[in-house]
Amino acid sequence: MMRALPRRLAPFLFALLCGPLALATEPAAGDASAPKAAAAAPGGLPLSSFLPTQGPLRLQGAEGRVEFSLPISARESVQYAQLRLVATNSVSLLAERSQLAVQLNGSTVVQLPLSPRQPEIVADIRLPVALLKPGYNTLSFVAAQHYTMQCEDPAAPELWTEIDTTRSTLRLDTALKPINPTLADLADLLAPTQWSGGALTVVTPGQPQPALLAAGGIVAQGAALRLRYLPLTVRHTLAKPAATRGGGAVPGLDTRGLRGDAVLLGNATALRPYLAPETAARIKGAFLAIYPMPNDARRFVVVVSGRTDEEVATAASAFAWQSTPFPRQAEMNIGAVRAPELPDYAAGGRIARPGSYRFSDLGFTTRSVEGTRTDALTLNMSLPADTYAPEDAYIELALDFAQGAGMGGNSVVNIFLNGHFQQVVPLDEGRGGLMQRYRVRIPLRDFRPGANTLNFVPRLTPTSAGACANYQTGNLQFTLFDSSLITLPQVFHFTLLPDLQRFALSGFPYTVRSNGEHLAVWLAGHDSDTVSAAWTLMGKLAQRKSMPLTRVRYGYERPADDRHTLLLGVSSQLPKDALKGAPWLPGQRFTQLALSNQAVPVSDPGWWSGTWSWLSGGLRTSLDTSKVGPVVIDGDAGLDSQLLAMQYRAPFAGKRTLTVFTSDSASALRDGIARLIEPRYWDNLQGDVSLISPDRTTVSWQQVGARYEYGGIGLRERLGFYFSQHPWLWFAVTVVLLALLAMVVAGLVRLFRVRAHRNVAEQQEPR
Amino acid sequence: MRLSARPSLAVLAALTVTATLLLLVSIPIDTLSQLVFACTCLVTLFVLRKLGHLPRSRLFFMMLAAFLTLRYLYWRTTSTIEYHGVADLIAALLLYCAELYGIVVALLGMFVNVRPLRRQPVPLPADSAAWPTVDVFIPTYNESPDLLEITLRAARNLRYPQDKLRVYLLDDGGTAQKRAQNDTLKAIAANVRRMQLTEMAKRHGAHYISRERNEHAKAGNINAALKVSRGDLVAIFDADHVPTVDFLEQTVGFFVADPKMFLVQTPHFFINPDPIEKNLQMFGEMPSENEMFYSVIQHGLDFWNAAFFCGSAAVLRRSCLEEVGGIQGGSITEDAETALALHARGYNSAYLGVPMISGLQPETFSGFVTQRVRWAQGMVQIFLMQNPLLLKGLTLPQRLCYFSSTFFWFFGFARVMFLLAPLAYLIGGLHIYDATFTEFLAYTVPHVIGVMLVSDYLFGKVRWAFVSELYELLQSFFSLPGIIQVLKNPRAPTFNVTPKGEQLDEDFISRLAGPFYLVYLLVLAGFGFAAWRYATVPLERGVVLITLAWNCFNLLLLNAALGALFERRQRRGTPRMPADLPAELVLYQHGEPLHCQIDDLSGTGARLVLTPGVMPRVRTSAKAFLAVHNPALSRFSHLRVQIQNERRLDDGSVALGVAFTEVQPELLAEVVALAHGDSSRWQSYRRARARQIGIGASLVRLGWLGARYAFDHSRAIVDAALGYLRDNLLHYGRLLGRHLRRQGVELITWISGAPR
Repeated sequence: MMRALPRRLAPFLFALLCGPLALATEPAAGDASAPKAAAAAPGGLPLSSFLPTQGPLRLQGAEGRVEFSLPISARESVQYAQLRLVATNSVSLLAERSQLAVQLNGSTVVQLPLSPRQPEIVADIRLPVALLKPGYNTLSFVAAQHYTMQCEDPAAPELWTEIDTTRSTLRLDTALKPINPTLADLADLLAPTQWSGGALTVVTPGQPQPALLAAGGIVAQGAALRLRYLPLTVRHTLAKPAATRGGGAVPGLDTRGLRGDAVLLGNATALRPYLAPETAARIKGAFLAIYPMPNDARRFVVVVSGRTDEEVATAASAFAWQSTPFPRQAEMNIGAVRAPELPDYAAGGRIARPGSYRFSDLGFTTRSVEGTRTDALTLNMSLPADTYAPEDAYIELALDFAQGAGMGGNSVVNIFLNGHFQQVVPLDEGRGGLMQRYRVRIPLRDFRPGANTLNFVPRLTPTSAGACANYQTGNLQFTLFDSSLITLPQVFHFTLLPDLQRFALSGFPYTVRSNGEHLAVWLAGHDSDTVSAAWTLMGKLAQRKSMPLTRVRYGYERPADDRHTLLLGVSSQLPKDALKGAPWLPGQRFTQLALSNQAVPVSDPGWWSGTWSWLSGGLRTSLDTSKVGPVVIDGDAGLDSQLLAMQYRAPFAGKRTLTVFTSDSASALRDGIARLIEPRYWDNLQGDVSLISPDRTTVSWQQVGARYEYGGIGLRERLGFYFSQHPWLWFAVTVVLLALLAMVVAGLVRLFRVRAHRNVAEQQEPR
Repeated sequence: MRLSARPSLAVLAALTVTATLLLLVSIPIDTLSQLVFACTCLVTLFVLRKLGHLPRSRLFFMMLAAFLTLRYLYWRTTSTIEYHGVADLIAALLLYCAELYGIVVALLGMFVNVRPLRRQPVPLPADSAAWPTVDVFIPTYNESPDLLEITLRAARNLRYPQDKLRVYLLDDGGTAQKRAQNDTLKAIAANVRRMQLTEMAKRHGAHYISRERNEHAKAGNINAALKVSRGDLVAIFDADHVPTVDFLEQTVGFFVADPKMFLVQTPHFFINPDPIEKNLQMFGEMPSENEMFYSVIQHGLDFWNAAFFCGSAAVLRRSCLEEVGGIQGGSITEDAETALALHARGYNSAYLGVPMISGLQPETFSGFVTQRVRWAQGMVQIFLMQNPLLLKGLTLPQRLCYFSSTFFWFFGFARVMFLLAPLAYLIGGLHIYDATFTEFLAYTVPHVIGVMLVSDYLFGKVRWAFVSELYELLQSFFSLPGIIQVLKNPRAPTFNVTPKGEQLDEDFISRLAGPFYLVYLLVLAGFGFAAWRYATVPLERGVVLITLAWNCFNLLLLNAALGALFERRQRRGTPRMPADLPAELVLYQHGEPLHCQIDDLSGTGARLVLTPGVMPRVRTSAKAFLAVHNPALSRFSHLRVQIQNERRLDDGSVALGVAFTEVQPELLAEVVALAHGDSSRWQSYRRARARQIGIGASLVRLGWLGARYAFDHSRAIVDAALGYLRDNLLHYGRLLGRHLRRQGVELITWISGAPR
């Protein structure tokens, strides 16, 4: 199965490429998808599919180095691994001293000479499978590059080698191992390192009613959470009795139609025909079990059951919350699952409440780097999607770090936020030392709603440099301690909706309540494809939230209570009252952009505008565009296997938000959602209307409907928000109030004059 | 609904709107929107100013500017102070405090001047029997008898029933303590002074009073006199403050009309330039520095019943003074302190803006500084020891007014900070103001322009823009140490008498110029550092440009300051003031009266202009009679004059400089009444001088004058240096020549073998 690198994790992967120490703790998503492709494609996958950016990899300087992360699942055995390397080196390199080494997990696999006479390199390199271990493996390219036998400038520009990431490929042949699973193995069996994963079938004994829908949703979330960043497609099928009962725990289930691993979901009574009698007899409450798949020992089937629907839900919750390799048993009867009450907006690595957080709380561990071009030290954190950032709000970093002695005066730590340079910390203490609580401020507005990456990139220089300088880098040391603090100021949760981008970032506004109790999933059809679509979507939302949403309400009818709602269904089955206020009406009305990119052509801004632009630092000029509405077309155009996602204010639930996912058929809806959760689509959801076509790799989006406010904001901030948009209104209000005050005060002053100076005659000269 | 019927509702409405506006002040707005807003506000202010209907929109105008200022203050407080290190933070906080001072003073100034009260005199009752008795006190310490005689005579000239008027000369220079001091020469001088002044007082029908010991300076002197006099009212004139004849007619009526009136203060009007006006040659062209206080602020204070006693040119009710134990002596500004004490007891004051005394200002910069440091120290003493915000008995407006009057004197701190702040960044590299260029445009510039517009509107006619800054700068280096001294020990300062009537025979550089040279050099160095920073720190270019502009402004002020520190000579002891009086001149042995016009006038002489052809070709004598209608006395005065010089003017007319001669006590009364007795003359002069030239023109004028006289100053330094070199070269050259000559002679003698 081919899978592209999740773009949202690209910066993360980039950090991994530059930071081998991070590999042990922070695997990258893109790495996980690559081996599957590599295995599937006869020639392997191009290396570019492992990278966040396109283009060649450049190994610069006397010691050039780049690294990849290769995930290998514990349930797979690698049979063959080959790298085809296509590279070009500088013609200025000295052949006698220059070479390119390929290392796997630190062991050199091959050395290639870098010759100016043959600057084009093409090499097929067989990677020793013995060196590949379950988990994340490191593939490194290390170049030693020189241009002279004498002393040289290690940063000379002619010292380079480029790896062609398009023509370079990686091929991995793997096979699944037979398993005898316990519940403790779930973390390995459903892991992001596997390349046979990404799909799960949930089997129910009959068409699931709301209670079972909810339990299935929780199961889907639990599976998706184990895959972390890997998209999970959940497929629902109805249980079919096996033609002939075999052995094992689920002898009565026909597994021929099941693709991959499966979950058997239902209450004990309903599952009894499919379970072995002794297994069914062991169901004495909420029941969670895992068994090898009948007829295929490489796969597993998880049984989520109970005597009642509530117990089934409890078992599903236990499945969703379980994350440690425990218990080492195949079955478990569960009395209760007591999850803590989590605050709103809670999520892994997210800071939502004002206050100071240690870097260690956000998963950062103390790290040291050495040398001139060191790896970036990365801090990942996430902000709520509806964070309203006033212009004068800053996130403050209080850095604890140590720096080496005798470094060049121009040594610095550059701080990048989401890839953009923000601040710098000069390392100008010649005698080195420990700095505590070094304060750095970054405007809150520069942070994105949702995930953010702060990269601390040390650039350490020696005091002496140049070709023949006594060059040593042992003193170029920098350590960033995890006791450093990041402080979030008082923020408000206020934004404008609809905004599918915020939905994609963190499931906003559906996941504000950490247990999902403000979310309802409304299915317009009872078919398995629609159910599959709903469960797949919920798995994705749980991944964005990094925890299961266990109190979501599911149903085939309009939610009775006041909840944000996700509506999934075939366009022809969508309830009319739910489409009131929808920006598009499939089969009746749709819109087209009147102007591409919404840009209004303007004439030459002129001297004044140009000067103003210069004075204001180019913040805003007369070149600002105004929005032009779309062209509205009424017609019977339907969705041809396309997925339409639209968000608008729920017509039936006060201030709640409704997001509709629809297509022209149930299977198209199911496939569309499966496509949607892939990063290339999911990360590009925007506006209030997004359209995904099976034959396109991009998302078409529009912002056409009315916008509405969401969230609470203080009066000051609300006024600030409005007046920032409308300074003239602010001026008018101020002038009116001042005029009113002036009138009242003038009256009071006159009154004072009469009382205090009643008989005073005044000169008539003007005041 | 009439406001007067429901004032509490109006107050409630005002408070509600104010609270709403304060909310608007604090809302977080994008910088660009703030910029749009602030620019629109400024355009509104300019339009209102241009339309010329400001009196009607006075409050709105001030409030709009105040809104910009408060907006700036909020932003400045919440967004611009960051920690970059201890030194940076200290410098940043000092600058912030200086700005805070400026903002508080500006806002209080708006409050004080919300509605100036320009009173007309209250007429006295028709029956003079109902008029109160008045004692006129002229306290003196070391002023010359010539100076005192003018004032004494003018006091005796006051139009008031003689049986109700007694004039006292309160001499602290002839006390028993002075006469018995160990220094024999000084003791003799004190005895001679006492005899002279006693005789002079007797000659003019006044009373000489002295006391045993010189305790509590001027306040003690007056209090001692209070014990030996008994008039209902006490009029106080400094030794050099010559009253006009109508002084009591115009002021006493207030006391008759209001039994709770304890003070009627009138402006101090000066007939000579202060040293800064003199050295920058701006006297007569520009409103005098004290005009702002006496033409606007005192009227504003008067509206809130907070006009205070300024030490002279005022009338006080004896009973009120006695109630608080006389003139207060807790501070060295006894006048303001006394007014504060009586206001706190619920008494009223009035300010009559008619100039009715003519006084002298210090002639030298050091004298000026002595006077101003005393004021600063005294007002800070009041601020510390009797803080108006805490003193019982005052109304809220009175508290704010007195707070404004005393707090103002901390300007030395603010001015020094404003001078050094750009240097702290340019030279020291300290980060004292965290803002971007756009923020600076959006917040700081509108605030500064708004404050300047309001200041120009309130005071533009009587104080040109940036003149305050110049005066404050010149005083700041001396008032700041004085204030620090008070802060350390509030009771430490002592009363220093302001030197008056000094004559300067030649130009010279003030001995107080030293600190200004140092700062001037630093400011010049700041330009070099600015160029360096601009070139080497591209990211900070916006900040460098802002600081550079600030430094330029400081340089402009310092130029003017250096110009003012180059003391110009001042030969005339009694300054002449413009006059326009018809007169007749009768030359001795000629007989025919010659029609002429008195062009200027002082207590010792005048300039006469005779139309072409009137003056005889051959003048028979330098002596003459001058007959002139004396407006103060409403009769003709006949004065003997001596023609000192004669000059033919371009239009053929003749200008004669004449000196009054043979001035006997009776004639002196005529001369003093003619030269100093007419208040309408001072009024017209003051009115003619009050003109508004605008902010830009004022800046250009100040820049030009500053550059010009700073150049004179620097030329004087160069001349002095060259003179020093020349003198030394000549001296040592002569010595060398003498030495060589002697050696040569010895050599020749040795060669010739002549005996030595």
